[in-house]
Amino acid sequence: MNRRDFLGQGAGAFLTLPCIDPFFSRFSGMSIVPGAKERILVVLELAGGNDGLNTVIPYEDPLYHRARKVLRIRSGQHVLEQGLALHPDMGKLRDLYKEGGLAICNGVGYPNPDRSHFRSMDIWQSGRPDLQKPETGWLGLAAEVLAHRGAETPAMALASVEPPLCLAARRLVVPALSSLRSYELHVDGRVGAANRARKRALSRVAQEKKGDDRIARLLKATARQAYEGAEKLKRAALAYQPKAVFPNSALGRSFELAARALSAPLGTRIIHLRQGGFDTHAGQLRTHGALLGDVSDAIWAFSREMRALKVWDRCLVLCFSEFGRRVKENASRGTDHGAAGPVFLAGGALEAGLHGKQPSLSELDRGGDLRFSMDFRSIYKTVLESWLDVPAKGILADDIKAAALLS
Amino acid sequence: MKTGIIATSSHLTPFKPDRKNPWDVDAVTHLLRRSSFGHTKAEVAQCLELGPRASVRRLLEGSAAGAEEKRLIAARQTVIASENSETLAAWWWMQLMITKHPLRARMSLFWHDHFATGSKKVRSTFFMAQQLASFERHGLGSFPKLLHEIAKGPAMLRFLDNESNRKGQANENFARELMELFTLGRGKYSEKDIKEAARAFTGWRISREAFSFDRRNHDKGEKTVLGRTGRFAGEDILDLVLKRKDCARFISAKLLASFVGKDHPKGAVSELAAVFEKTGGNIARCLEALLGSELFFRKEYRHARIRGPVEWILWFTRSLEMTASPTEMHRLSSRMGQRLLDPPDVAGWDEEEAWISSANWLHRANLAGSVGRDDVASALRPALSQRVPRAGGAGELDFLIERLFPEGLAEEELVVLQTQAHEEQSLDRALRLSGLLRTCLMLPSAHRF
Repeated sequence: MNRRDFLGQGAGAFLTLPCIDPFFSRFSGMSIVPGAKERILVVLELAGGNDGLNTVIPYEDPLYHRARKVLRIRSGQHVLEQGLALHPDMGKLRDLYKEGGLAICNGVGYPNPDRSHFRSMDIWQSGRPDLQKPETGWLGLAAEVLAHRGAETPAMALASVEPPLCLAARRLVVPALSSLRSYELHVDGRVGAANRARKRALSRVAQEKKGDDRIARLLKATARQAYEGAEKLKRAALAYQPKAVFPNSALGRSFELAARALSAPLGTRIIHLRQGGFDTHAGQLRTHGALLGDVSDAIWAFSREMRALKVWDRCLVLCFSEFGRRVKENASRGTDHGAAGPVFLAGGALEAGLHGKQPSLSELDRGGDLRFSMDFRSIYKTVLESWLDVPAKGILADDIKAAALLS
Repeated sequence: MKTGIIATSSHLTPFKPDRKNPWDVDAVTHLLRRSSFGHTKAEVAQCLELGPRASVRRLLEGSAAGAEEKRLIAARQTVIASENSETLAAWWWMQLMITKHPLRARMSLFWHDHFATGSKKVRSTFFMAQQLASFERHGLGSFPKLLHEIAKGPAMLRFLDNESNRKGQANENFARELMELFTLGRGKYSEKDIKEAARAFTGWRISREAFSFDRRNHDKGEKTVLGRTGRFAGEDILDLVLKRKDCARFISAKLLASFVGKDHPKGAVSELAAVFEKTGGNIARCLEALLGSELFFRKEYRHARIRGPVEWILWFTRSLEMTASPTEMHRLSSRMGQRLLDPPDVAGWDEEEAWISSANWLHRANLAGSVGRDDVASALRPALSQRVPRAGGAGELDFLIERLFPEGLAEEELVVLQTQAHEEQSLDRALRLSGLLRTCLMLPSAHRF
């Protein structure tokens, strides 16, 4: 059953299957209390198509220098292994790499790569290249399993006002917020009794009635989740004192918000973050460096925070983009949509180092793009089964093999 | 959805009211909600009198701008001179709230979502204002003219990097979105079509704030696009995609999704595409057929769409015949996920269910709570306590319900509102009204149309 089927069901089906409303269920726990066992996944989406070739740079390859006359980065400043270096603005991630907290999967993609942002992002977010119009996401389906096991709010989107496709589930409504202040109900505050009456009226019109259709149920479930969940989240998150210094950027604030949200007693295991701006068709050099520096600094700060809480070994950050970019630069000092690219994993319990195979610059595909050597779904499978303890069956195609990435 | 006899009949047959599906307040508000954002008391009465066909004609014609709208139009140059896209967005908000041609305004919003262009990248208030003017000029007219004007508009030239597209190293950004998002839809072209079409657009430039053609940077060679070969220029590619049946179908499906809902019957697409092709892509004629059709008035499609932030705000301001600070509405709508002149990306906004998340819901509840107050920046104008006639608790509530829900409310919703009106009887009038308005605006039915 997909999202549309769910919403399209008649009232009869709903009466037998109560809608999962995360803020009303039974079990909850703070995810980042020392001693807790639940493993946490933070997924960072680099939207627009990150130029993988200028992120993990084959700085000794003459073909790289030939294809990137303007955009090439000469220095091997942050060398990972022979011939490969991280972008000069990613010093912090290099430190994390040296510390054993970073795994880089090279040449990640999928067969018959699509160069459309929307289609390719749908593929990455659903984990289902075989579906023309996916309506659920791999993380939403995983969250639904966790909710069935009793997690109160298994997943949250913290850098979007609309829940992304990857968090779309069959019946679970995943909260999406971009700041704590954006997530509270203001009452007029002049007369106490009137405020109570108003809150009561709002929650009364959000109660489900027999005969409500699919849209009424969606609107009402969302309303109840909003009013009740907001108070819980706010109380915990505002009291939280971060230990690390997060970068003063939108992404830095997103990671800090992630730490705060994980301190709320909501049993949250999955957090989705997003950073846009990677669609560098023109004037790439400076924009791209600033973006990568921000990503590197923010992940580093989050790792320090989680280490200070002694929960880093229960944390995994997965960072991906919908595609890499064309090997040959264009005339606007930018790059066009490409195919395979690197995926970063950061955490305290992984097989650090390089995975997969750096794609060859002499064996490009017909479009002039890098060929993939590692299917992104093999990373998903490992994360689902070995990290979240959620069976991949029903979420990914059955023939996908897991990659050995965790220790 | 039922199949069988209905599925084989013609969806665009003109709507003929009968006893089962009469021309009543419910049918009239459905037409007005979908085509005009809101519904004033006068509009409802007029449509009831005119009947379906004449009502649709009336909506397509619109009315001449009133004094306030004329002043707003006259202020356009000042807005452009401000070089501030926030000012332009506020200007547009004001127009959306007061215009006497709401269907044209609704189509401008539709095309803004379709040809989604963001002011952050365009960085020119003038270019964005020019694009808005194109939407207004051709949005209810010829789609081919609209496409040509938008493609060559500096806003689009810059937004999809066509201005730096040059021979030898073509930039594919515009060519791809032209086919994928503007005219044909995914799967109706090949990667090679995009690469070849991109070459045809080489040499397109912005010079002196207008389109110009740089011959030296244009690739004059032969290109093969969508099965045709020739020394195509950019304009030829536009004409080539416009001639495709897929283009008529793509635009028709989008109009159907917007006016009927995304669960419209598949067969309706071919019917509307036939109108599109027969009229040379005339949008007004397509809408005349669609809005006057038996399909449009089917009960299963009423209240079946979810209002986006802009649609929601315009519904209650226009229905109450009030306005609110356009800068505040711009700010608050942005917070709810819809920032005019800055769509999230070139695909525009995700609609329907995507508008509804717990965070968005809180924003809506907070806006609903503030607009009825008289001491905040986002307050409705004139003040709600002046707009609502002094008629005691029940009369005040009747006024709000009559304006906002002329088609009526469910019994339990009515009970909640009456209880609240009763409980707050002793409160200061302005405070009581703002509380009632908040509950009205947060009824689930207030978020569907």
